[in-house]
Amino acid sequence: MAVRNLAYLFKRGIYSLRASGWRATYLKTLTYLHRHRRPLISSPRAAMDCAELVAQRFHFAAPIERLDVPSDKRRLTIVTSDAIRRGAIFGGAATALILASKAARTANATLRIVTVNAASDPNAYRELLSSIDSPPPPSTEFVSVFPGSGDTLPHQIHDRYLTTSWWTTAALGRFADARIFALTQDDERIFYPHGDDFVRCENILRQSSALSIYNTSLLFEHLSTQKIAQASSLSFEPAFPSDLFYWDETCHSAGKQPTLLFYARPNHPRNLFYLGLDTLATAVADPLFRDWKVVIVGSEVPHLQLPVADLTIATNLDWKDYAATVRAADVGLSLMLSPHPSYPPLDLAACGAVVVTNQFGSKHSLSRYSENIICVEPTRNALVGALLQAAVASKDTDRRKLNLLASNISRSWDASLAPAVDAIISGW
Amino acid sequence: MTLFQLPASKISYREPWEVPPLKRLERYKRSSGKRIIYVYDRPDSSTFRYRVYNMWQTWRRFYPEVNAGFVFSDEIPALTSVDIDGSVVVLCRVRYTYRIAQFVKIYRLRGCRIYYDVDDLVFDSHFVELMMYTFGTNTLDEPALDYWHGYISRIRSALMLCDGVIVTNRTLAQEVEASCGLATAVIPNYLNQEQIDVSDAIFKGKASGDFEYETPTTIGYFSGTPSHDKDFRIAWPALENLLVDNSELCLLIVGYVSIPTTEKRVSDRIKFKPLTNYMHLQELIGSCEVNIVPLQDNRFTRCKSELKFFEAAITGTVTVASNVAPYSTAIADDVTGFLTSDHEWMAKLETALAARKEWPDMTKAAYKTALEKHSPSAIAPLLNETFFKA
Repeated sequence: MAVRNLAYLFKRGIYSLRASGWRATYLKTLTYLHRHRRPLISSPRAAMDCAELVAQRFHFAAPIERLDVPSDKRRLTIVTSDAIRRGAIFGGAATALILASKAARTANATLRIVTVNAASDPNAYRELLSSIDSPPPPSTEFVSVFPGSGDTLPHQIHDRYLTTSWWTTAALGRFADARIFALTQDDERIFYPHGDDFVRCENILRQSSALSIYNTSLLFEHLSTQKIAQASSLSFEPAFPSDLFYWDETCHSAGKQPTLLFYARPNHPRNLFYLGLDTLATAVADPLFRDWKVVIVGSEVPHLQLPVADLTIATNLDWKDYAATVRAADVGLSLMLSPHPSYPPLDLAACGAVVVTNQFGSKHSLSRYSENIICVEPTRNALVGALLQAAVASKDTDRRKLNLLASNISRSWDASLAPAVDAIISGW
Repeated sequence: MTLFQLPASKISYREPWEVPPLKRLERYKRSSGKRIIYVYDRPDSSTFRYRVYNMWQTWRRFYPEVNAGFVFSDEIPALTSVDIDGSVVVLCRVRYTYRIAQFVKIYRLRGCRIYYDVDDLVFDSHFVELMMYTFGTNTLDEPALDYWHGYISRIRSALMLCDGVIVTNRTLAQEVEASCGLATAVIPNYLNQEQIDVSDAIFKGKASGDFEYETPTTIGYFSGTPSHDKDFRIAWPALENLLVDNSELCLLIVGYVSIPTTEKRVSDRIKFKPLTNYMHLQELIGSCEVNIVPLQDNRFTRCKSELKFFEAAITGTVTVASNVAPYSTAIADDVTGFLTSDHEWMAKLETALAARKEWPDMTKAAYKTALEKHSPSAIAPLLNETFFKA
């Protein structure tokens, strides 16, 4: 194995240890080694039981052991594999917790937050709710389970569940008689190459009896055309509260150096970091971007150089700093190879920036959200052309502000999530 | 009081059940007057102390005309020589045997009233798995299942022989009524005189120093049994972060608790002490500024007693507890202590630690509450009313 790969793996290992602890890292290592196995020497191996082999391969989706207990207070359980810790609750992970919290509070139910293969920092959850001024449920519980380890999860007859991915839906296989709601925030099949994971994911998405709740109508429409989303499902639009995402006059006054923001996550393939970087490097060479400040926002961004006078790489920003950085942008480049618009383009549009993003599947245009969003094919030429178009458009601040006023971006989680909350608590 | 100078016990301790049988029964054996006899399986420093010894001590001090005594299950045959007519019998968490059944039968024939005293939800086998889950016990462990189902079954069998049930709080009373259909009465747990005497000295010491607390500040967790690991882990993320953020903060853990592996450099400020006798425990509680009571919230835990609050209150130590019954009613938030939800431990501990100026008033209010509700003088009239009301 190349030294470079080993260094990368070592770094990923440390990151995983910090994020998820020893047990989860051990299981991830097992899966990785299984996928990349090569026989060191030829020798006869003991035959493996087929069921055991399959179970080992999909250990992360193994069913959680159910423990039936006498009924008690109303309880909503959210099952997530995202680590709940400071600085890590963003985007979809935050949306899931916000939905679960609002539903539990509305129903006066306990919210049980179950993390699979990960630990929780309850204070990070409290800080999330505090950041959006959302009151918490009447009581909370934090439970970590490691499927396949024998960990049990108590179940009361009227418990309801919210899952956050296909594998957490699969993990509730033994709870099939309970009311389960599956929050789907992407076409999860595209997380995988075409293979076992892809098919298993698709089967769970298609066959689960859970009521699906889709993040954005775009995603719902896309999965409907794929015959995955059912007509009985519902969708909601994410909210971008105006206390954080707004037109900041101090950032865009006459004479201010304009800012180009590139959303960069090299280790999240669907964020198309390399296409974005190629696009950026090409675009900033154009005289239109002379004298612009370039800010690269994201995580694990390598030390880069670009032919610009002012380059800032801002990684692992906390929520407030991220919002402040977005507010300062005049043009944003944020790519996502997904039918979901992703949040950064909408973060930027909610602050009046002109945003360039890519098409994918049913996502041809995002003008339904804002006329300040330019959506083109994911090719360097199309994206560079769009960036240049955006640079010109960004100079017309009056037009930008008008488009912002006319935009269809939700500002209230209460309003956005009300139908989903009603569906979760109906009949309880 | 600094962390590494925990007080050596200044008291000479004797187990409360080391009372000779003659002394335990001397009044009970009197031929006239009201009589009450407590029966307990084998002596221990938890349920026996609260539900038998403390009560016996209270009768002797406040109602000497009531002839009170206590015996252990294997001493029951010794009662055959005693005139028992009209006695009140209290079986405290006694497990069924044929001897107990015969004992109840004989006493009932002689006009005695038979009560069962229970302080936990341990009389209904529907709750076995919930209880094991709460303790962190593997719910498929065969010996554990055999033990708990057997234990609970025997408790229930003995309980169902009785005329009524005495419990420690209203929540437990409701569970008894729903499960067993028997009438209940609530007599809360409370302090005994020895606890009050040793704790009073600690409280007065703090008061005489105007509650000027020394650094480092110590947070104490007092675990009675190994079953509290899951409880402790509710507060652990907050404790770990606070220890990282505050180099003047220390943690004292008394009893059986396993701490999750911490990568952060805090282990040098975590001190462990083994379980100790209840008198020295008061000294250890008093050596801390803050006492934490994290609790899981379910039907089993809500039947427990609020003793961790009043045991700390009597020593002038501030309590931060999970907002779970009975603590949610025992503690007035921000007045006699602090109540918190699972996600608020960090914020509430920060608030509690920042409120040092309020600690004198808070500890005095908690001390007053402990004496008003959990002292022998407060409970004595209730005892008399419950068993000998006119």
